[in-house]
Amino acid sequence: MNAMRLAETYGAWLDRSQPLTFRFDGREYTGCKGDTIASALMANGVKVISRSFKYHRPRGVLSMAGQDGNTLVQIGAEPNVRADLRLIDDGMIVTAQNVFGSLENDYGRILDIFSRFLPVGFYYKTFYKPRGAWKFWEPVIRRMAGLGKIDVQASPERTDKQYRFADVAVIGGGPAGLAAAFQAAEAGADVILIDENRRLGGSLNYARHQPDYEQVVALRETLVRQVQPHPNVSILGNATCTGWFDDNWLAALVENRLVKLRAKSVVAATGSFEQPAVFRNNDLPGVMLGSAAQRLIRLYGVKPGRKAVVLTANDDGYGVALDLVEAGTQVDVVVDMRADEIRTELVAAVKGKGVRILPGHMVYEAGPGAGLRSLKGVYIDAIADQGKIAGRPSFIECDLLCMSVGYTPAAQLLCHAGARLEYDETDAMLKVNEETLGENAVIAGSVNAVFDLDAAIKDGARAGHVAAGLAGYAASDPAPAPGKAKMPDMLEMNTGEREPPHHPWPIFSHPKGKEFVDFDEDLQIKDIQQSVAEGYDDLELVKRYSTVVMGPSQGRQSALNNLRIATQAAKRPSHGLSITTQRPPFYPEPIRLLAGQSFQPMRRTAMHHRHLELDAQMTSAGHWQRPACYAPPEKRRQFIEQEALAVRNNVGLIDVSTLGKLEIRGPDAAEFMNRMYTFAYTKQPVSRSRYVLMTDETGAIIDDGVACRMGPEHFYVTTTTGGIDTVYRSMLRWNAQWRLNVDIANVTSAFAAVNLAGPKSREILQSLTDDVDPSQAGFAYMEVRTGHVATIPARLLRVGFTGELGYEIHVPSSQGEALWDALMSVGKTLEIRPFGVEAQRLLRLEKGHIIVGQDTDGLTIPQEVNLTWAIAGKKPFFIGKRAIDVLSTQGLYRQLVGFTLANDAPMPEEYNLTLQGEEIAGRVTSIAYSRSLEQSIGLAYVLSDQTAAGSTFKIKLSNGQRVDAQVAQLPFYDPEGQRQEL
Amino acid sequence: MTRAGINPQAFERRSPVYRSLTGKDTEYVAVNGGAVVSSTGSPATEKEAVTRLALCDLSLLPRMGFKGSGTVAWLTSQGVSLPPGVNTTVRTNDGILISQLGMTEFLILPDLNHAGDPGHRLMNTGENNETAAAGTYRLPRQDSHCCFAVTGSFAAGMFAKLCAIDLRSHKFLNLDVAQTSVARVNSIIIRSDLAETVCYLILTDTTFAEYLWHCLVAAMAEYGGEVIGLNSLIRLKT
Repeated sequence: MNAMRLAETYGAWLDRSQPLTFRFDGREYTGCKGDTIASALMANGVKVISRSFKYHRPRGVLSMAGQDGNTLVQIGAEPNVRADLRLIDDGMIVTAQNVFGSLENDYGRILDIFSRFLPVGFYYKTFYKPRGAWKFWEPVIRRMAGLGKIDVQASPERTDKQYRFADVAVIGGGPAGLAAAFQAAEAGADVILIDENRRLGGSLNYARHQPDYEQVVALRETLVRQVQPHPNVSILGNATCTGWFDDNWLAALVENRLVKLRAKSVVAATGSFEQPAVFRNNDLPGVMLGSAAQRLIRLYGVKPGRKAVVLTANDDGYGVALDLVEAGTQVDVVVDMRADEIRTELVAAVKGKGVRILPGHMVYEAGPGAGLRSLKGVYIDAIADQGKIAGRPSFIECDLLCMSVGYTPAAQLLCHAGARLEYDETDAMLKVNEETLGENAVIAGSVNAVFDLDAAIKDGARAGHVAAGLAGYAASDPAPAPGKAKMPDMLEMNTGEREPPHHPWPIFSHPKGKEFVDFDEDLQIKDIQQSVAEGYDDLELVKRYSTVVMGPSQGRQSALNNLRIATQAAKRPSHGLSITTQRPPFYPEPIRLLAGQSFQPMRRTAMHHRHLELDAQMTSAGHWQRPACYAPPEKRRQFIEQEALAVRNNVGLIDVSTLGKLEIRGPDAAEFMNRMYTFAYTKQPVSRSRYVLMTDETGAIIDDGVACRMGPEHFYVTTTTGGIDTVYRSMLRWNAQWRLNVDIANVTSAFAAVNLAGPKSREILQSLTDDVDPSQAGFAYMEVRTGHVATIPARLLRVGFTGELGYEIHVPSSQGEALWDALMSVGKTLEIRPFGVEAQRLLRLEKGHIIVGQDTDGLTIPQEVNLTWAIAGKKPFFIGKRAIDVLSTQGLYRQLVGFTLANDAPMPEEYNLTLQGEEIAGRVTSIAYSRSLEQSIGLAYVLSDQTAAGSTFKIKLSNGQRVDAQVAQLPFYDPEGQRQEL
Repeated sequence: MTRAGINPQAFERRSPVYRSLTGKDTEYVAVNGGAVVSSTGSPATEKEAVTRLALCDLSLLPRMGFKGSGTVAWLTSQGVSLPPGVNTTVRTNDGILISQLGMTEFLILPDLNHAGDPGHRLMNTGENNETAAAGTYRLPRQDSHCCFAVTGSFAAGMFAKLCAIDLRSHKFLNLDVAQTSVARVNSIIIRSDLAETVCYLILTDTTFAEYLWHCLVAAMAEYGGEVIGLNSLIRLKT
């Protein structure tokens, strides 16, 4: 049994049957299933959980709700874990972070002693001079800054994302949220209720609300019972909504999943954050919010202290006192900041327990134990005026101080959606300006400044009713809340049943300071005042200068008091003022959750697995996977050359399914082709193919391929692998303007295709087709046939990208693998060899054919790459014609030429520069060693006066060395083109 | 049709995902020139899964697309009823589904609820890419797209991990069509229930078929989804 563990009537979230052991800061502790790290430590009497960011002061539980930076710890590779939320696991190893030495003995605490020399803005003023000083200080500051440590070697966890949809999203499962969800669901709306806790009920799980706690428990059960089984309600439990974006797009973290929720309307019943009082040493372990003590008692069965003082400015503090007393903590006194003695049932109940009540008093200072590691007692005094004491302090010994002095709305999500928080001096709190709420946003409960429990439930029902209406559900009257008045009364809800529970000035400065406004950044009252004094008198400026509200808690406990102190220092009214901008995320989002599952679409041709079976090295081309070569990595170059030689001397087979393919059909098909491409197509005979070259409006080459005329009104067009999307989009765009009677269909995936190339290709084809004559006489170069290959319906093209006799065979993709099998099977006796993209690149280089995108860039015009022949000059129009005509009159600056290297010359790389003298002339675009030619050959841009065949130019290698290259006549191989026309 | 001992590679037409379906107990049925998985070998598992969450490869079943300005008139002349609008589907009396994908674009699929007529005349009116009639152009959907069926009550939840469209059965109604992105790949989703069981047909560029198949299988794991054969779907219709 842990020292501070309460009896089993407490600790509703624990499973005491499952004890767990974990380590913290080198020591072993026990807890039980359901314990958070912080609750288990508190149960073991450990109060110090972290050290503060700047002064390394010991810190303990503050909110017990994951809403502060006091409980950040490291678990393995995961930094900045909130110990008051993270459940313990058996064997878990938890370490303190941001300490020099150990948590117990942190050398960094010396900074606290010298804190007077580290005033606000110290960083900005100190390290920038003398000149160069920053270089010295930067590593020092970087070493001291930061909290946890990331492990760059950590392997990522699997995460994913899920889209969810709702008519009404309710954020917050407290009394107002439950009532709203029920009401909207009853109206017929699909409701998703998002709640960050393990159990629905919000404050009903731990807060007292009234003397008889059993009634609170019963109320919670009733509300939950209404909602949980409701067919229209889905519950996202343990889910934190981190952002509210346009059109009610809500981001919610649910374990290892990011839920993207889209709702027609949203009810924000997000509750409020209890606020600390500001006095000297208000950060000591043992000083916590009243709600934190109640959470420890009710949820985790932990006695927060042995002897307590309660500082309050509302009735909730009396609920805390009552809970403490009943849990066995000695409570001698309730220090009530309100001047008048309050007479409510709760107050009476506390008095009935023999607790002394001191109205009009304040805790002026907390007395520290050794090393600031605990609370020894508090100094209390009568309040003389705003922020001032009478000067007659008395000391009360205690190890626990609970603060219940007010709340601020948890309105961050609302602010993401455009709402504005404004300070209301009358009620001494920030309120959401309803006029700034989005059209389909509704608020309910304490975020709406409704703190009375009955009123909050009514407010929730009202909000659910309104939200259902906004989502298109003409709701009937809201159903009554359990045991409460019916709808008409609810709509006339009275939020004034209880006086506002906020003290207007729970801030008491001390001559010795250390009254912390912002625990995250160790900012004291004087720091805020100093910022204003130095001219940073706007809240946004105070924030940036002092770093207030910029820490892990993002101002949850500091924004309100900062507003009060800064406006007072600036001598400005606070009424109507807003706090600094609230940006997503509301709660830290692990980047792995934002990344989610990585979807990386991958396209495979019909023959993909055949390539793998043949040990192909695959290479990516956009989404496509293509065989680069069929070789083990260590023999890559050798096999590429062998594959190319096989095509030159025998027969090879390459999968060209990735080529883009388009059907252009309709009465205006030829006219359309004529406009889209540079060549002439109106007179192209049926069953013939023709080269296509596409330029953009500036005359720059954007794609090439082959157009097959399948019929008078039908062209089958291929594009480059990477160019199809651009070409298809461009065709659709232009024809939307031209309105030609033509249909354009992208059929890239519908056809698998191979190129059967080499002198023996005809022999193979001959044995696989009955209805196509593959002879030169029956099927000449650049002709097209339809027929069957291995009984598979096929389109056959005699094209010559490799420079050899070859047949491109296109078949329905579902039959692509069967075609490959048939060709490889029949070709086996002829020693057919599959070849990959690399061999094809070599083969086409030998023929001097360009690859668009490799041998061209975004400015290349046809004349520069010797494609003037592909321009039909007599055509009145094609895209880019005017630009090409104009550019033709101006002479060329550069040109693509073929070149050879001496056999002993070092091999340049593609994109090495070409030179004229020492000036850049161009670049190498393609280069390879040709086994057929027994020479290194390439293509390169040079200046137009360097193009004479036989002349030389220099190439600058990556290492700076120069190599001589000789301009060669293209093509390098078979200049007469006889082999492809065999 | 033959049953036992069928090898998918013995057929010219092969599903782009046939390798992912190969198992020692897998049974095939010859359909439309290819071998379709009729059963994965565990009828009891399939029967339970098909109403919970199941995935079935229908890629080898016939389908055809038509588009062009004359398509509406031509289809009407063929005596078939047309869907009420874009992104809707009509189920005809003679066993096909006609989905309207655009103002003048239609997709014809077999209706698994029907007795089964894979050779419907609209899918066998000539070579895929010939012009059907003036202004009516065939689209080779059988080869350009793979087709999978996802069935069961958890299907919408599973899709929610891959797709941003609300496919819940009370929002995305029977015979609705969505043209959207699934796991970052353009897809057509058609809801075509089989008797009382929710069924989504998903059609995607066939070159992404294996990628999408594995995405779907991975997404189904959370809900205990199973890969099933065609027979389990056909059984649902009665």
